[in-house]
Amino acid sequence: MLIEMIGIEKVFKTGKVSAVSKILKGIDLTIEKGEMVAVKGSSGAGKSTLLHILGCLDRPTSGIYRLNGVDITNESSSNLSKIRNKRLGFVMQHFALVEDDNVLANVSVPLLFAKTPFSQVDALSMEKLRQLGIDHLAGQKVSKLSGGEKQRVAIARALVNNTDIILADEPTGALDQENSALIMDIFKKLNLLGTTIIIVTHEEFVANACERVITIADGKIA
Amino acid sequence: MRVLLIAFRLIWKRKLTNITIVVQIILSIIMLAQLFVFVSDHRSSVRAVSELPVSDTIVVSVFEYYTMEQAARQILATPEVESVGKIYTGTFFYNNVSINLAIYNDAIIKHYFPNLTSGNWLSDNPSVDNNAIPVVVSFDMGLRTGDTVHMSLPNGDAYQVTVVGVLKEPTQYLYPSGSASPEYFSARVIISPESVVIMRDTDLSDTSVFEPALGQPAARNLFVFINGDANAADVEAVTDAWRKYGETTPMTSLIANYVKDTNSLIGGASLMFIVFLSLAATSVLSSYLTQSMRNRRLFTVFYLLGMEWRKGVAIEICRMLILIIITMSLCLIAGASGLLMLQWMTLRSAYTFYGIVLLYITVTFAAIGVRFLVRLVREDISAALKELQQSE
Repeated sequence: MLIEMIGIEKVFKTGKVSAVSKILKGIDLTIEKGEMVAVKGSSGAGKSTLLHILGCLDRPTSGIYRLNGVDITNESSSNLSKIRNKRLGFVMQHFALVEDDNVLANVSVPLLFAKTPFSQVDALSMEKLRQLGIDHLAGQKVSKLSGGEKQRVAIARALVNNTDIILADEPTGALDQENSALIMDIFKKLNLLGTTIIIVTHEEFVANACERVITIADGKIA
Repeated sequence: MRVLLIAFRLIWKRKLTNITIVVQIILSIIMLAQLFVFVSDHRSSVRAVSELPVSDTIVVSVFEYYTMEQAARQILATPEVESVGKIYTGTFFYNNVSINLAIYNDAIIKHYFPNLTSGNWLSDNPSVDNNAIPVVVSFDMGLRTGDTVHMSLPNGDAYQVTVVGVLKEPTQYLYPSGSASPEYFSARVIISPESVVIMRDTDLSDTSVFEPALGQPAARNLFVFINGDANAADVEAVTDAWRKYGETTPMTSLIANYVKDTNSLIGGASLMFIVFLSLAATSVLSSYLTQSMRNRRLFTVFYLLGMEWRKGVAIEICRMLILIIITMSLCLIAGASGLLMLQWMTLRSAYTFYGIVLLYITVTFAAIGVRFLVRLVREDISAALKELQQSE
């Protein structure tokens, strides 16, 4: 089991007085290595919150989160940062790229945080771009790229540290049909190579492309 | 090391904005230098003026149709008068450089005590060898107490002088160059900051060469020292009688008005500076604030990719420090190239000025940086992530 969640709850404080909002109300979830899973649900159901906890961007209020059999629920921020850097890759709806940097600089950022020797950074980044067929865009400023190209740059960045898990939050939400199909195609190819992919989505065709669909309703798995 | 590299990259990314911010700060520092010199100068003048004999002293600005000698003789005949101070001004040449020569009579020497950094004042009657003339010189002449040198008048007359005292920096001494009447009075009229040799009139064989010619506009100020036990009404009466020789004003009144006017000038200049500084600061802060908002988004992306939130704090602190160092270095270069008017400051004033500048630069960059850092440290990352996902 790659990912195991037991009784995960997440409570947010709202407003100034001690008002709270329970977004996740006891999530039990397991994901095996090499699975491609879609997480569906209506707006406000808790999909993004679940993704943030899966991605070590946030901690659960209660419950247990195991990654590769190791309980990381109460890991230090430093270790969670290392996990995000080396094991997880993020692909967001609006790309989350640095617009005024070029493609190569964007892709190399995780390598810098991984303390990769400077002499290897560019070469490793170019290799990932080549794998995705966008090495010709290396010197281009991100702001000049199309939506589909930007998302491919984001995927290259997500993979550059040879991460084995990709977390995608509405990766096709800002793309047209053609580019959406292209991105899903890339995800399927990566999945065939063994990458575990978890996609939060509204879209049916994305959910249908995944081998398992988890539906969240009112903070629980339906 | 990587933190530094990322901080440099961040600065380089927004180089135009950062250059604009730095240039705006340097321009406001140049203005600050002008105000600093203006305020220092005037405060120095006020300090020098406060060293002047004040109590029981009347200044007579002698009219052009009397010589100082004539007016002094008449005034001295008055019983209420203890003595009359006269100052002749001229030029000495030392190493082919012309320097102010101030010749004080006994009355001035006994009532006026400028601050010395070494040696004695002429009132101590210091003895010297070799028939040299005892003199007090300004600090910037580079002479020390005990030095004996040769100087000459413009007419070629040479004199051997021995330094018995050195004036304290900044140089300020009694040297009337204009009329000490109420309408025109300022420290500049009777105080000078230039290099000087001061001597007693009796040490020169003939002081008549220094007497301004009749009818010629020149400084003709007498300092009349009144007997301590003189009656105020009598003093007022004789002061009125002296008005035929020149404008008469009590020294206390001249100095009080000067200090009041100077303080108003300083207040006005300071206010103007504050207005300009506020405009510059607003512009700088708004540019920096925009940059910090962009950096917040950037740091959220970095967090996503594995940066610890604490590292973001370190990167921002490094960025601030680098900008402070760059701005301060440019300031030092501006100072070395004369833009900061350092030549008008003493060494101590220059250090004080640079201290103020460093504080100003640090506060300017730290003001927004600290706010950003506090948000980074305190705020829930979920909010920043939501902003990231919605912001495009």
